[in-house]
Amino acid sequence: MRSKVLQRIIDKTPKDVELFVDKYADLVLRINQILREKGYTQKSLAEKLEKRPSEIHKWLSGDHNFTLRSIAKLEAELGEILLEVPARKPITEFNSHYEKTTYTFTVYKNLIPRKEKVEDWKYATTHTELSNVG
Amino acid sequence: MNIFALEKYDDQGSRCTFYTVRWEVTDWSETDKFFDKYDSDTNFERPIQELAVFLTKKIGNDAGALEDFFRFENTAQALPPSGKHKVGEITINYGNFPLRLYCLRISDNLVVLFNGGEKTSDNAQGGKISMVFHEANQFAKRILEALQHKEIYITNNKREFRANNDSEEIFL
Repeated sequence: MRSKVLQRIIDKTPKDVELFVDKYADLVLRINQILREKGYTQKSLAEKLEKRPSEIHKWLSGDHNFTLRSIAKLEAELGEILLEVPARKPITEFNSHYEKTTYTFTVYKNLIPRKEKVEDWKYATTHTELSNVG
Repeated sequence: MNIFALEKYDDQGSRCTFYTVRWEVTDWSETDKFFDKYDSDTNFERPIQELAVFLTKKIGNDAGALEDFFRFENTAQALPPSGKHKVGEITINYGNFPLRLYCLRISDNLVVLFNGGEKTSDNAQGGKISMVFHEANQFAKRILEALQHKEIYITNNKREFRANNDSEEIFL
């Protein structure tokens, strides 16, 4: 079950609000996780970033909006990616009077064996010291 | 303290069940009072939606009630000596989020929501919502006592409370 009041609010919540909350919560979780893993305190992180501890506290406890710049600074200092933008394959735009068609070619290699020249066996006429090697 | 019901608020998520408290003499839970109040205030339309989504989707269905999502206020006076459970404030960690919702985080899977209010002071004990904060501590204290005295227990799946007679109806 779910409270009707809560459901009423969820039902009218726009998609962008949902996406924003999801991303922000993920970001905060990731930063806290990395700080713990690397043994940073807010104070030591502030020293590394040459910022006031109060500013770092604001980043991590809710009184400051992250910006791309602040995220990049954190990524550089922590040596970890915090945000990733999914890459897409480049798409070629065609002028209206052209159309895109895809052809498939199969290329066969010449598999007919070439005739090799075969030398007849001949006794060596000269012997060097290396002749017996092998 | 008057009698209140401890009842489910949202159990639709796969990670966490939310409970709330409701005074026996009223139909509205404390958490419904909070959401309804700010939902009808246009100044808080977006924050209340963010909080609702944060609870139901992120905590309830995705990550669970991780400690990173909570800000724990000083509530030593309301706690058992172990200090294991604290009254926290569900935190939306960004730019001056204007609302506080008090809760008792039992585990990653079980949270009791109380009432809340606007952040009018950096200190939860100050400002307009000090009464709500005080009340949240009283609710929390009673729930923790009931757990300690085995008036209620937490089910094996860690997602529900039950009365000691196995009933889902709980009055404390």
